[in-house]
Amino acid sequence: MLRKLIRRYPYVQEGFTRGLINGGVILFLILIGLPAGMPGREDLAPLAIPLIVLLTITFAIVMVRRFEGRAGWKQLLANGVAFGIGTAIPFLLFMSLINRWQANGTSVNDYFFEVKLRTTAELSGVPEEELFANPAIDPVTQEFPADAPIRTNPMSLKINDDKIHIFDIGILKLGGFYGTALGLGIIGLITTLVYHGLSLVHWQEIRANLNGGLAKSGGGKWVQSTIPEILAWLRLLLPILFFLFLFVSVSMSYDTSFWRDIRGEDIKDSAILDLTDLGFGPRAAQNFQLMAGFLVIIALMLAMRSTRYKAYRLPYLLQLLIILIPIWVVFLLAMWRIQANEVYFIEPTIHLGIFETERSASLAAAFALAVLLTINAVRGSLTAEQFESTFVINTGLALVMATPLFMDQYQTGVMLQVAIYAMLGLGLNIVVGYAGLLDLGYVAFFAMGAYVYALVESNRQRLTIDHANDLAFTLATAIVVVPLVIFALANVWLRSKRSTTKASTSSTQHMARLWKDQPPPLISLLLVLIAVIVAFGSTYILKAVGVFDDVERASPFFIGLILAVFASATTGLLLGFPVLRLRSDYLAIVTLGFGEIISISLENLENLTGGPFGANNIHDPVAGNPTTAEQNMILLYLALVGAGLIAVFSTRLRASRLGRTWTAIRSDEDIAQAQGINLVNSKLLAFAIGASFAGMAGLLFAARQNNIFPADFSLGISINVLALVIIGGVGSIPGVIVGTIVLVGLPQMLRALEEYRYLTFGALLVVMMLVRPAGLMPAPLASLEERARKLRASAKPKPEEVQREEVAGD
Amino acid sequence: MAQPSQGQRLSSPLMQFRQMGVADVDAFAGRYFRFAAIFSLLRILWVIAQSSTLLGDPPSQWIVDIEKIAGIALTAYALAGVVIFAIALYFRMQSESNEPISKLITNYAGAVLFIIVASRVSHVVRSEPLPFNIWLGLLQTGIIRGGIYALIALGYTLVYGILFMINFAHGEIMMLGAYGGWLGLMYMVNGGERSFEAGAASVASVLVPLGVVLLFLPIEDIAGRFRKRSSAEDVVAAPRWRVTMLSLPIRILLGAAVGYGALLGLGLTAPHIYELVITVVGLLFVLSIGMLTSVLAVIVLERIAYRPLRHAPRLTPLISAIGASIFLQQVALRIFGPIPRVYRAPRLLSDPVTIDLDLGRFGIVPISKVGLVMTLLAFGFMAVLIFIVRRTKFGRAMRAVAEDKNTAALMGANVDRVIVITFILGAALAGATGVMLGFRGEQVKPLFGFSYGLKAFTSAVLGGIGNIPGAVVGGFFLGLAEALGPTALGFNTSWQNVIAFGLLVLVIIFRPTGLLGEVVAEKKV
Repeated sequence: MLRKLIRRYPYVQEGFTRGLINGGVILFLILIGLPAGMPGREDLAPLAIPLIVLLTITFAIVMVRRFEGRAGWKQLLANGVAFGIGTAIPFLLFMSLINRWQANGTSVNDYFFEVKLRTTAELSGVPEEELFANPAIDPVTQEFPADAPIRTNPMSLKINDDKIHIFDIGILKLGGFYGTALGLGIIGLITTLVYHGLSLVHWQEIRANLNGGLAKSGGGKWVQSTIPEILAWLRLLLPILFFLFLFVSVSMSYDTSFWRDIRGEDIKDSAILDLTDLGFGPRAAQNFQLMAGFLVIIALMLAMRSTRYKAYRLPYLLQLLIILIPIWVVFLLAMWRIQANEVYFIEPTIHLGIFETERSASLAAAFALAVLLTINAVRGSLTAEQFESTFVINTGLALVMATPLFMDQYQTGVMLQVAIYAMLGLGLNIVVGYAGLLDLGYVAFFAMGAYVYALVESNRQRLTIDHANDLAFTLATAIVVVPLVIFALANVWLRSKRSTTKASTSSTQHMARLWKDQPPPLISLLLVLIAVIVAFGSTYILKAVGVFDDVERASPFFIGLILAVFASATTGLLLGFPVLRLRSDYLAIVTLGFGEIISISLENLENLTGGPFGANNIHDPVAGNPTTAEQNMILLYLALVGAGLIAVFSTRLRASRLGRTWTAIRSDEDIAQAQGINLVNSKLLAFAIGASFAGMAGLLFAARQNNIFPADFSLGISINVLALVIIGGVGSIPGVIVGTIVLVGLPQMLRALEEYRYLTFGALLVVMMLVRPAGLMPAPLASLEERARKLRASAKPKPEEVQREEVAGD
Repeated sequence: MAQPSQGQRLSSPLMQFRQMGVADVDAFAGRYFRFAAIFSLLRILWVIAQSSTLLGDPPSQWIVDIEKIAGIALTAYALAGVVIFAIALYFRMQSESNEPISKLITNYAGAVLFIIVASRVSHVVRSEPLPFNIWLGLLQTGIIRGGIYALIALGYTLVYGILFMINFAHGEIMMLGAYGGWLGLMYMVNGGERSFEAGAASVASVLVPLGVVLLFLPIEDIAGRFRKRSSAEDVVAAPRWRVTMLSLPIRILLGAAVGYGALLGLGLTAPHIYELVITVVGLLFVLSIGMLTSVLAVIVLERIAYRPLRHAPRLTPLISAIGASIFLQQVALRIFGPIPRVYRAPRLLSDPVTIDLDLGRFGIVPISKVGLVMTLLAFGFMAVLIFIVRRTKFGRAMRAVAEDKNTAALMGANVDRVIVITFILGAALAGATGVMLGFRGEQVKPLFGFSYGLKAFTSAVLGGIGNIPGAVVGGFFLGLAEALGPTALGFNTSWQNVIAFGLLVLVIIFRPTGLLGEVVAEKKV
């Protein structure tokens, strides 16, 4: 008999396995506490049953689809029953265990953290108060007290109060765990049969008929050209629409007299479209606005991707106006915000007469940006074909820069975090995306930037004014002088060598040679030494002449910025050097080791870093005693400018000689070397550039937190940044930005699901790799590579095809 | 390499040096490094032995002198190296052919590093001498930890050898195994109501008779009945089958009676042996539940997160594995909560915790019983694994798949199944490690798998990833370095991880393929 059963098993195998999987998934959901036991969201508990039903329906449909119409009604029926049994087995096993525990007075929570009484109640239909453990056994008689209330047993189909059911379908009333299991089985069976019945209908014919009818009724031109054109322009205008949503939903101060005339009432602070009036809570409204802010950026990225190289037959002035009007309207809105609501985003550090106050400085900066964009627009729209891209870039920049003005403290805080992570992501993108070097210890450079800043100005160390000024003057001079001197000296060296080799004429060739024929290490060292000496000398001279006399107190932020970039780039070089020869996996583990070494060192070098207590009271770049809102706003603008500059730099870098070198190394190191590429230099530069961006991010992070601890720089950050680069799209700058918004910004908004944030994060990584390995917004090259890979994979003949060909050959 | 032309004379040693081929110079550099390494290690051992009064109490003057002379000699050796390598580098850079100088530099740097470490150890150990039994205790800690690392590292190495993929979630698989074992243990001791022995006795009273029943069953006949019928001889003749079936209840009853009786008799006559037997059965029960949990987890993991990505570029499965690692951590956090779970150790292992080994003059070395059992078990598991890989048909299939998947498939190996079983082998080892860690007193937490996984992966790389003996060697190497390193170098123990990762970096710089070398060829995927 057993053998007979085993032989019949393949007949229902599909149903049974799918059922088991379904039961397993349901069990898993119950175990992790979704959604019945969800902490803090008890109101979502009633969703438990619909969720489970939905799962069951999905798996039943998957099962039917696996048969591809090959199964008859009889087999489907058998499979449906098997599906129900399969679903019931894990569910019932676990539930009987829980029930026994609860009857014994053992708390399920002792073993399974999230399985609450509430879960059991939801799943059995027995109310919570009925589900408590049986009364304590009387110690004398060793029996249950006689007057104990009778409890409802959830392990039965029929439960005491016949009003309590989970599944109440007409005459069918089911309750208790058996009832749930039975109900799920019945749902699976019904779905199976119904879906099979539906799949018998010839949907395609119906659709074809519909389409034919539409075509006959005319309107072909409309469908073919006008709708796509409108859609394309909608895509370009999306950032503006999102910005408008943000604008109308933010409450603003109005000039009361003006609005009294129009609206007939005094309005002080109100929004045109008050989201709280629409029934959203204040937190939800905040999140909607934040979302709109992010969507402005995402839509801008999308719009930049979908611009077309297309000439419009419009007069030049009209084109220019189309671009300029949004820019200046946005400027006016920003001005209004600055004037009326006293939102400032810039701090005048140098006193230049009219820009004394924050307000005037902010206004001036906004105006300067608008003028810059105007100039850019005038320059860009000269070529008519680039009208769309000029429009998108200029208006988009104006929108993005104006967005933070309309946000409150919480929103700017989240955006600041996103911007810092975007800087990190763009830096790692250079190492991983461009050069193809998998770096899992990237957080080391982030920590470097933060702690260097902490060593400039915090409770660990505070530079005296004289020292700070000296340092700042030297750094400022060195930034200008050192590269110039090195470049000049290297040129001299090259000229002296050129007499022996072939002469190169133009300056570009000259530059190229400088890159290729570097001076030997010793001479380079000498050049750098000379440059440093010259820098010190010129600082001294400038100081003696009195150029720096006006400065009372150099900004520690500025000193920190230069030092952080320099220190993290040097760390990048130092860490990069030993790992040059390693390939992917080894590189990953060694860099990971480096990251760990740095974070452990931070904890242990107590004299320098303050150990686990961290560095506290780090200097704030905002003068005075700023509120968090002011601090966030100013840092956010710094971060936005920083991230923007990095993004532009990265874009330009990719097409440069160095960028192409990296691409070559990424695709094949050996061939790249054979082409004459200097692997050492290129890889080290990738490490150094990526690291310096992380240093900047670390600096901003430290400035924002004011207190930093070694625990802030754990391996988790490295993995997080890598994940956002990969989810966004390796090597793609818009991809990285979108990835940051999705992985860093979104979770901040989903506070309700905070406990499940990382769970979703991990699952998302896996799912992304399965579904879209190239990322949300893949780099053009990456998507090409992906397509080629798929083509190659599909070009391989499948075994059955080979067989068929052989048969045909016979 | 430039051959000396015929008319050229080798006038001076310098000229001779100049004429040396590239291979000669590189070989010389290698010898230089090896010599320095060996002598530095000898010096370290010598100074430890001397300071811990192993070589006499107090050590005689010549023993101390030898150490000092060795120190001076090694320093001189390093200084001489500067001159020699400077000359070699000079000629290397002068020559027109573009020979790499990295080998020279790394060899010299490695030698100097060894010499510096030796002198540091000598300084630390001489200024604060430790008795010999403390050193032995540290050695023991190192070996136990090495066993743990080695067992987990085997999982990494097996998967890497076959798929060229870092199974980042392996540490989490171990963690799940530890949780599974904890659930099994809690089930056994009824949620902590009874002692380990009581629980084990009740489990043994079921499992032992069951095992004996299996001995009594006609396994061969039943298996023959269900086997695929390829030839007539496999089929058990029907009349005999009927007899077998009829005898089945008697056999079962008999077996159960014998098993239960033996257990009962043992309990009545020899309580010590009885306790030993039920403890072993209880431990095996918990161990197997832990292993089962890990195996189930890895089967699901492989099916969902790894199999669809088998032909994807290298970064893709790695990211998927990282995602799976985070996911599993969080799942454990949600299911079992953030409270650390603690195992309940059996009396035999915990009362007393250690066996004291008396070494006479050198004092007492407490040997941890759990550690002893763990190390023995670890060696047992490794032996089984190596046997499977080297001697069985499945092992051959595994090696074939590691070599070339397509060819192996053509030769009749079921590639998917081989890969799944490879994952299962690694996961079983990891699960067993998790349970052993639990019995060792480790707090089972959702995040504890990750750090162990990281260390284990480090040791797999240290030994040469993809190389099974390499994982074992790397594990013990890392364990010993972590246990002895901080003390010998005079650092705080909180620097232990720095030593571990620093070692990794150094080994990879000087021997990029690990201590024993990669077995798998460097394939470009």
